[in-house]
Amino acid sequence: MQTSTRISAAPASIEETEALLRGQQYLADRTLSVVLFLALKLGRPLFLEGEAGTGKTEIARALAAGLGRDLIRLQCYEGLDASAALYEWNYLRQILELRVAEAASGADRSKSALKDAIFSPEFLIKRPLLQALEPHAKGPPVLLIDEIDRADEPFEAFLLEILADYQVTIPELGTVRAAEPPIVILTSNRTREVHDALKRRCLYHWVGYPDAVRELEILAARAPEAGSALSLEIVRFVQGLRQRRLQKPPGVAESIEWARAIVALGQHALTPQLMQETLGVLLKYEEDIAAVRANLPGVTPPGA
Amino acid sequence: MTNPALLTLPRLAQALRDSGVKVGSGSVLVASQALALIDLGRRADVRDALRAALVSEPADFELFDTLFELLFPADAKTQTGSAPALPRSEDLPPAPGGRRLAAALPQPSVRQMRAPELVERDASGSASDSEVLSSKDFEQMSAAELESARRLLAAAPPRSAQRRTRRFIASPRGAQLDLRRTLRAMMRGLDPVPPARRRAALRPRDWVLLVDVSGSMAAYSRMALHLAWALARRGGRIEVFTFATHLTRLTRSLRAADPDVAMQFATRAVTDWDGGTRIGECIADFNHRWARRVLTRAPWVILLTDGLERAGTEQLETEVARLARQCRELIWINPLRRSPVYQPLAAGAAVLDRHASRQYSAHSVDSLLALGRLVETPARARD
Repeated sequence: MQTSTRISAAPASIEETEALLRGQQYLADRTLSVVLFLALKLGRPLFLEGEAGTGKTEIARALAAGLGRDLIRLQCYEGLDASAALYEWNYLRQILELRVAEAASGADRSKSALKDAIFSPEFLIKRPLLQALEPHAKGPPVLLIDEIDRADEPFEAFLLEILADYQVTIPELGTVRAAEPPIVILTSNRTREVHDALKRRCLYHWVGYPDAVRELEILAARAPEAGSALSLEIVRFVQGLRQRRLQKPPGVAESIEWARAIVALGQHALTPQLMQETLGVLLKYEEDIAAVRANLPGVTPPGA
Repeated sequence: MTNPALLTLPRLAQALRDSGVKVGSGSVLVASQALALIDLGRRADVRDALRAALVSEPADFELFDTLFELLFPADAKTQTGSAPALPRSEDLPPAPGGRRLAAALPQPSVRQMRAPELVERDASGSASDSEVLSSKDFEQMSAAELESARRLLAAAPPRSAQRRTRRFIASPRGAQLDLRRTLRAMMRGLDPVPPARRRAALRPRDWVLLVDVSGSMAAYSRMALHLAWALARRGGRIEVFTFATHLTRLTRSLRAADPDVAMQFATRAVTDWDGGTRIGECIADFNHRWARRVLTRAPWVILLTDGLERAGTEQLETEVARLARQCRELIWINPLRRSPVYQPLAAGAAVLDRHASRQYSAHSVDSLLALGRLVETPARARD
């Protein structure tokens, strides 16, 4: 993508923010554009919450590409700690280095010199948060802290500290401070409640499912090969599914995938047969697939 | 250059706080900075900006929007200084969100609503008295006895067993090598260095309590809520829901530090006390709306009900099976089991009997506490 190398300044208005995302095939609604514009202007982290598959991660990607910045992603999981998120010493190499030094020079090398040698940047493994605080040629990077709800509370507290002053101290090396703070985007699928203290530090935006008109636009941008007639059928069906009580209603990501899958099969219209065969792209629970399949036209429900 | 929106902002923040939304002064500051950056003529933008700064819970959006409508009326762009007064709770339209809002607007505080007589318990109750009390059926207790029973529960709540986390702590016989500590030991010059070890840290397993508050369960459900309050106060992670005709989440209500206040909150939040029972439908609702949020760490799910389902059992069967698949263990507490000849013959009870991995009676303090002790030993039978 040729735009990804261009470095743009932060957008100066809400309209520019929307255009910037649109340039990356991301169609944001007005509310998201307002909130994102303010987050950039005020230098506040943006907290995006919403169902899986509504394009939260995609916002960070589009923003980084649109601004021509690096995207640094930290995927959260339970037990995520400082050594996986911030930095870690390469202990194995350090231990080997110690052994080699001892074997080679006996005891004549001073202990402190040895210590300096093994606690040097060469042995430091930089994790995403530290990378985000370092200077970047293209300007402050976009730091995506993805699925924060998967991490546990101690990590939230730790993150709160980093987001407060954008600096970390490595005892052996000194303090790393971001000259200009990164653009921080946090996402959550809401599998648990994230602590208020963290949310309050951020601007908050709930990412919902798009309405039919917007979803059509999204399909036109992301899966243009499907054509408008097929896209319309897909959107109508998917929007209907979201009204139903399913375990996991399909997100926009699923709509796009479905459109691409149908095109890949060489089809241009939804037939009950085709829907039967491809429902697995859209729905990820067996119960949901069974429930929807029973309602497809031309399908006799079991037991009827 | 007094900006009318800026003058109304503190009132909006205060109204939100009065409604139970936590709004820090930092957020208000951000909101005021945001107002300086946007076109105040576009009312929807003003709303989006203020909402992003002040509210971080989608359940509060509706409340925010209503307050915004009241305080930033569309036709009053040139308001100066005096912001419109908030209506009193009785003036509100019965619109959706009205109930929540009515609860938020000026009204007597919970403290004032508390029952005036704080029962003064005398300490003369001998050991044998409390032994008798511990084994007595809740249904046969007097008000004073129930009060003492609550105290017993609050004083000695069960402890939950522990689950392994993915964090590590130092442990001499741990399964993994701890390279960091090994290196530190080498730097100190120990030779040969005994390798340091570590093991997975433990933390209490989460609980989810689903309490039937229908008429037949009245005596037991209230005690279960007391137990839930006590557990939550001990720092264990516990989610509490009640159901009779619909599902209500009580987790937040039970966070109050004072048990009486917590119960007041709970009493107000639950609107189907002593109603009929639609277990299948309520569990379906739980599975649909909450399961993915509260069952993520394989908790124990404790279902307190007599299993007397009013509707058919087809839905109950599907939903209970789904629930049982998603948790560590589904434990069914059934007060009817206190009778030695009880058999789960009713259609609903038979379904629960098939899917629950363990069942207890829990009709008295003793049996509730026994539940805690039993839960403490990790169940291997199922694995």
